Amino acid sequence: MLGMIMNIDINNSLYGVCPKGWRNVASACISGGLLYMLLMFCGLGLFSSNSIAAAADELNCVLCHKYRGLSRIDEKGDFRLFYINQGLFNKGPHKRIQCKDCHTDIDKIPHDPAKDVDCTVQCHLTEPSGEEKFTHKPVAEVLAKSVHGTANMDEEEIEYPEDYPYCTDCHDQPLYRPLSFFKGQAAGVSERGLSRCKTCHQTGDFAEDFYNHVTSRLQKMRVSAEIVNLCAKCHGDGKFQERHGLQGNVVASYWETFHGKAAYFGSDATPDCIDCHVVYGENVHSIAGKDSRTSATHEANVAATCRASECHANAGEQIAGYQVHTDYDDPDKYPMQHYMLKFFKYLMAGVMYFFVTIIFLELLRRLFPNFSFFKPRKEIRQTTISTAGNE
Amino acid sequence: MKLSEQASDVLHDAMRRNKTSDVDREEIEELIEHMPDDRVLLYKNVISNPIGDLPRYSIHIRLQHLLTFTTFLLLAFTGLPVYFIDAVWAQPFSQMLGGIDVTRVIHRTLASIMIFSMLYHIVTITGGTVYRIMLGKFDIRRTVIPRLKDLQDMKDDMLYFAGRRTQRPEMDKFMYKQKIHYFAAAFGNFVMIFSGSAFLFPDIWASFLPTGWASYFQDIMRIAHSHEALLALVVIAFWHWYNVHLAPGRFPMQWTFLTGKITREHQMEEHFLEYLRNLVELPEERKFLSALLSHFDLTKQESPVIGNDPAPIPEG
Repeated sequence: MLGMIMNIDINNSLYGVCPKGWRNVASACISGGLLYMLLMFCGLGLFSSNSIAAAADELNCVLCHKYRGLSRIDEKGDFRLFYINQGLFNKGPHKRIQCKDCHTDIDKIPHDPAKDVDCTVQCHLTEPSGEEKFTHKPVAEVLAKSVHGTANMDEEEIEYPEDYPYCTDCHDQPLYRPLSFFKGQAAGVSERGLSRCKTCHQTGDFAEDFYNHVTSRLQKMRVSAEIVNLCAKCHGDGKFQERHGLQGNVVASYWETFHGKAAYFGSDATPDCIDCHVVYGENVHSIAGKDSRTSATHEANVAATCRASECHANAGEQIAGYQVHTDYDDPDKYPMQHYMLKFFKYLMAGVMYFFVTIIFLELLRRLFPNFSFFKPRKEIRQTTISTAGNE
Repeated sequence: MKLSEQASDVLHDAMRRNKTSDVDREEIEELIEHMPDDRVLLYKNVISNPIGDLPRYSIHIRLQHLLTFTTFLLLAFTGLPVYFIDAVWAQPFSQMLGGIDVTRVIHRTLASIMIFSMLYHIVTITGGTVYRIMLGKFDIRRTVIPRLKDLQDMKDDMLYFAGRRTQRPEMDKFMYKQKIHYFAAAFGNFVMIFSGSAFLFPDIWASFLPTGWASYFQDIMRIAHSHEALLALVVIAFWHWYNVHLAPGRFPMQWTFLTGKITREHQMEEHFLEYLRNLVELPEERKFLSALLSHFDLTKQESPVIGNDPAPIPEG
């Protein structure tokens, strides 16, 4: 429609300036040009949604993996879904990585069951600040030495190797949970912010990629409650805690605190697991057990942890003395808390029984003025008989 | 009516403190002689203005009550969702009030108003007591300070409710119920402020508490804060609102907390000793009572309206 109007306008203007013989030629050229542009727009509209995926998917893996039902029951009996949601993939951090960069063992189509992805392999990306190929290996090394890794343990000590988290256990990106979807949740890209980058970086997806890359690390991507629920996947499980000799249900006791309650209500200004268990300013993968001298929760470091992030900026060393993750049901370990709770329960019951008894007695006498627990029975009979006689 | 020893003591004490003239003394004693022995007759037939007849609370006490109960209710509304965090209504209710980041500010602001109200009350009662002592009018029986008589009153009142007595005991300006409630509220207020300060200033508390105490201090304060609040709310809803709103004869509400005045009927029933003082202090009340007695001719009635038990009125 717009093209037609423009066409007429331009033709009209051309009639005015061009010699008569040129009219048909010019008209034909312009019409043809506009038709060509129209086709171009249509083409872009039809194919643009796949254009980015196509850039990363030189091997055309989505030819099969675009089908939502692509799945099977594996040898362990687990349901495996192999569908790749291209929309999610293109918004994720790995959108410029080839499938084969991570799924290294696939070299023919159709392929055999692929091995699990090793996040420490070298990608074909080059880190912009240097010439080295990129890899997540340094992160994996930090994780391995932390309380969540087994690098510092002897072979015999590792009792439940399957309990130790792998990258994707925490970095559960939308892509790795393809059956879930978001409602009305925008990804961490601000179009307005992006428009400033695009003032200069106009070509390609440069601005989107680097804007995402940088800002996703600056923003708090998950609210506190999400982090807690993430950790609760393992640490909220009583059997898991027992297996590893860890203290009771630390997640339930966290929800009891004011930190937890604020998080539960969606506040993101309140500390979650990471804020207290990671040394301020350190790599989050380096969480250490509370017995380790480097741990944020080690006796000697607790006060510094409370002071960090300006949470309790004025806290002295004594704040380390406060007990956390208290289990009120454990009278041996937390006698004061246990008996204080009991005291208030009995106080409430006692007060209520006392007051309700008085109210009950008072109401009896107020509503039935002749009521008495001590009235002789005979008198009542007499009243009844005399009333009946009168009738 | 023949006054009990206790009542006549209160009456004479009041006349002495008020420097009542001999003419007035005679008038009062004559009036009391004409009152029916059965107080039930008196307060069931008396004419009362529901808004209140006799002075009870000063404007300060009324303001403190208003400040305390409005802040108390709003503190409860902003605090309850935090305690009952996983209840269905908790999140929507908190959201309705502005979300946790807003309600926490509201909660602290209201708490400071409640603390102000408490300090205002302390200043009022201290100042009032000093003022009365200077005037020579201070009478410990007229205050909320608990006395042995209150235990006796409570026992007698229970016996009355159970039908053992025909009369409620002669109680003073503040009866046993009010004294219990007053000190429960004072205790509750203290616990709430004390424990609330532990959450607002955890670092300051930690800085001077002995290490052994500090370990469980936060936890027991958290338990105390929420459970004391619940206790207070339950006591207010079941006990206080019953006594001042729902009890037959008080329904739909006593206006005392707004007007500062108590009805004549209520004063005679539950605060008879204070009513005797009113007779001494307020000449117009004497006139009213004398007119009332002659109008109804209550003196001639002998058998009590209430209770078939013709037992004599127990004394004290």
